[in-house]
Amino acid sequence: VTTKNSIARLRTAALSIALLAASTAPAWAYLDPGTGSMMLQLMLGGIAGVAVVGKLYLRRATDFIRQFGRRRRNG
Amino acid sequence: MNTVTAVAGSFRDPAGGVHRLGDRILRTVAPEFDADFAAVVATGVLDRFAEAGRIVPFAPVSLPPQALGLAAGRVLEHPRLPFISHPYEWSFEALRAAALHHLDLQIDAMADGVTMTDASAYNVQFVGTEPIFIDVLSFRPYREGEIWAGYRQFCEQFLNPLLLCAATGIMPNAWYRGALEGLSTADTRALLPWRAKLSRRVLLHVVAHSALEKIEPSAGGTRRAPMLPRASYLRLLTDLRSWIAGLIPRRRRSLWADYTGTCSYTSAEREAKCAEVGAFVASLQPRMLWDIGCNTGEYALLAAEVGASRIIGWDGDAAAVDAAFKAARTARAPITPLVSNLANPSPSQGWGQAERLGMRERSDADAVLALALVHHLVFGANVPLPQAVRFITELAPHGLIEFVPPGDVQVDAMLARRSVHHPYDRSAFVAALQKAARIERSTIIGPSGREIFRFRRP
Repeated sequence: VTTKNSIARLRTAALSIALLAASTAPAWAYLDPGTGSMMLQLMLGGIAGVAVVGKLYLRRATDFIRQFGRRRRNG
Repeated sequence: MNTVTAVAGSFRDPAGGVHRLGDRILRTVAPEFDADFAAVVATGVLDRFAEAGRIVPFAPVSLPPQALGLAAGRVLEHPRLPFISHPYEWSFEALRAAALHHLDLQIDAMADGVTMTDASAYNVQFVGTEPIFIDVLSFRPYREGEIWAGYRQFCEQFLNPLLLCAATGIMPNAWYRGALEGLSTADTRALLPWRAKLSRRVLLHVVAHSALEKIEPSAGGTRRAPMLPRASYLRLLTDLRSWIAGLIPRRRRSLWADYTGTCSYTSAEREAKCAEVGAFVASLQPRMLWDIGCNTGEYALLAAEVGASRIIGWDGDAAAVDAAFKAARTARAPITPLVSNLANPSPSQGWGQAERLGMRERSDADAVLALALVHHLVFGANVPLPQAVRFITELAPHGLIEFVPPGDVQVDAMLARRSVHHPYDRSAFVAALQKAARIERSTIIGPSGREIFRFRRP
């Protein structure tokens, strides 16, 4: 998973939530999934997305600090 | 000649319906859902589930669909389950087992690119204490990015009743019986104490969920389906699974769950009672035995040991039934203990008052046990003795009824608290039983005159 992908996914989730306010249930469901229930799932997906992005940034930051430390020790 | 009848509870599913032909259970697959069903079958996931006993097996039959009122499509046959119970008759542990069973099926099916269209608790049944999923048409191919259509239904029919019990100790059975589709998220939110709402999962699945439900979808607009990444979908399922697996029911004091420990039986009395029950069940070898007023399942377990093939236990005390469920599961006994107040048994209800059949309408027991029950119906619910006896004898052609006479500590304690306007003594009981059935044998099992009667209906 790349950061780009995660951001794209977040964007999809945000877009979906926006679209959902004006959308109806998908045609294949005989059960009404409920608009609120759909939005909550997208939020959950969004939160998961935020967590992934957060983790990636954290790893980048720690990598950077480690690299910085290594450079100083070598230098 | 057997005629085909549609099973009343299966009318909602557009993908097909369930029909009864004599003793056979047939399922139709509507032509427009045939491709989806064939695609699911081709993955092999249903065969795997059926072999493991996780879903009810199915086999194609050569019956023309026209015989079942279908222009085209295919017909499947299922083996008949021993008993159909309803989620509002399940104790906490049974509802939890059913919820985990549903989630596990859905999680495992995802690996084969298969998902489920709904999350109805009525699609889970019990064989003994083992859950089994009965609606093969709930499975269909997963479409990349789709949301979980059954999420709301899962919350209302599984999660919310379990949460209510875990957070407040309120047994959801009576409410669930009245609200067949489950407990709404808004109601659950209103009932949960603030402490429970400090949990991240309660905040999301109950508080935020119910707040979002208040948003009205506008009419028209785009029909673009929302996207939920597959990994998020799976995480939602696995997170709910680990949450539900870890819930602890809040226990309130139950008179009956502790009954075996505190009851008024002497050990000699209990031995005599066990001997009577053991001899009755061993001689009859019932295919289906009902134990009404089963309490924590002590005598049902004994009956299973001596030869009852299937046992349904009934009791109004949900905590006692929960203890019976756990005991039966540990013993791997073919017992399904269910919650129902015997003075107000599950009625036939739902659409057309036939969608969910009542307790008596589902009885095909060949024997019934009613141990230390009659005095509770007479004193606890003011049921006249002859009516209480007839209720029991009408459930099965053979049975045991324990009569607890006045003078016994239990009966005297009940009599001290209320007046009884119906005659209650041994001769009135015998007269009532003789009117309803033939008394085959009677044995006094204790010093207070407790007596077990064996009856056979003519």
